[in-house]
Amino acid sequence: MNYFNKMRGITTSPPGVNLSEVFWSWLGAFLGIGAVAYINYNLLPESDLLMLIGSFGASAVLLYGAPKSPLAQPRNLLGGHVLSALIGVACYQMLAPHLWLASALAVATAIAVMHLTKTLHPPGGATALIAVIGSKKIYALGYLYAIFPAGAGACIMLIIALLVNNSPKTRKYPEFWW
Amino acid sequence: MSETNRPRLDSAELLSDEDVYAAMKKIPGYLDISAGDFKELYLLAYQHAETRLYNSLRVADIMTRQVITALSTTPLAEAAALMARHHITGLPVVQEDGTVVGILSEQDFFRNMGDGHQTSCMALIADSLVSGGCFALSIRGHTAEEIMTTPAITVSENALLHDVGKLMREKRINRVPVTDNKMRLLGILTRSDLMHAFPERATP
Repeated sequence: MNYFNKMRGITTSPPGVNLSEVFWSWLGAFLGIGAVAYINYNLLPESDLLMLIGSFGASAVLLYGAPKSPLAQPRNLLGGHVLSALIGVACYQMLAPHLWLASALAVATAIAVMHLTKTLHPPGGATALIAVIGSKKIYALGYLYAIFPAGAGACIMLIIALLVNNSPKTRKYPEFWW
Repeated sequence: MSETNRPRLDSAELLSDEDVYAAMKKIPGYLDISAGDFKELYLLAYQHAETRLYNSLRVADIMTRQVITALSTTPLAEAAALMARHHITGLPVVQEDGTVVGILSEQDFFRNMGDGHQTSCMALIADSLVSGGCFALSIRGHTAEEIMTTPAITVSENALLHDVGKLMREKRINRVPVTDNKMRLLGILTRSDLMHAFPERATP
């Protein structure tokens, strides 16, 4: 197959899901993000901690929208967020104020490390990037960012995924733990 | 040959994109894989399973147990008629107690008919048409043990198909009698047994 021929695609897109799947995906995401966001906005506002980061939106797609995916399994969810968070913080601390370089290095290295540790979880890339882009609060957390919010938030979303995804007959979660 | 005319899915390569798509629709929930990837995966898994089976199956698993045989004293006319009736090109020659003493095949007939120079059916036909004679006369009245190939190459029923396939290829034989350790006949394994068990492998 030559280079340009490869760009034509070889197969059809997978079938869509039925309405019950849509409902359970919606419910899981509502409860999972709801739990993390509630803690973030209602329990922690006065503290220096935070619980909600943008990458959890992406994790919700996988955990509740595609729970069969290897990318959505507990090993990937937890490993991907925690390892990427550590890499993101390290890149920021070593390379600031060269934020363009820190951003690129953080995401690229996060992907490499997730591959090597079999923890590939796409939202991990965002978790690494957020450590560089920051907010002042995130910068102040330092390496604690890997535990709060990255690890803890992922744990809460995992618990909701276990509860919701095993409720309907047509779903089970996880496919594997480790 | 087979009882029904229903097409059989002998080869995993017959799997169409439509089949994969229909199967994916039966599984509720979003599958994080494209139909193309699934098909590729399926084909590789199928090949792997086939190789694994081929490398672990033993002769006893696929051999034919109802063997058509000739006795060493069977007249060749009778043996030839037997082979013709059952559409086979060779059979084991046994003694009364079931001990295998040789193999009688088309090749043995060809070798002993005519003046010994013709080694195929077509060579015999060609020479018969030229000379107008009947080459079968030279072996008329003889018995199986007089022209059979002996000793026969045999295998045990515990032999791996992988090894027997290799043996048959190397010795250029199409069938091999399966015997116990006293050379008593238990069954026969033919090239077509191997081909039916593994349609993907054109030759065993």
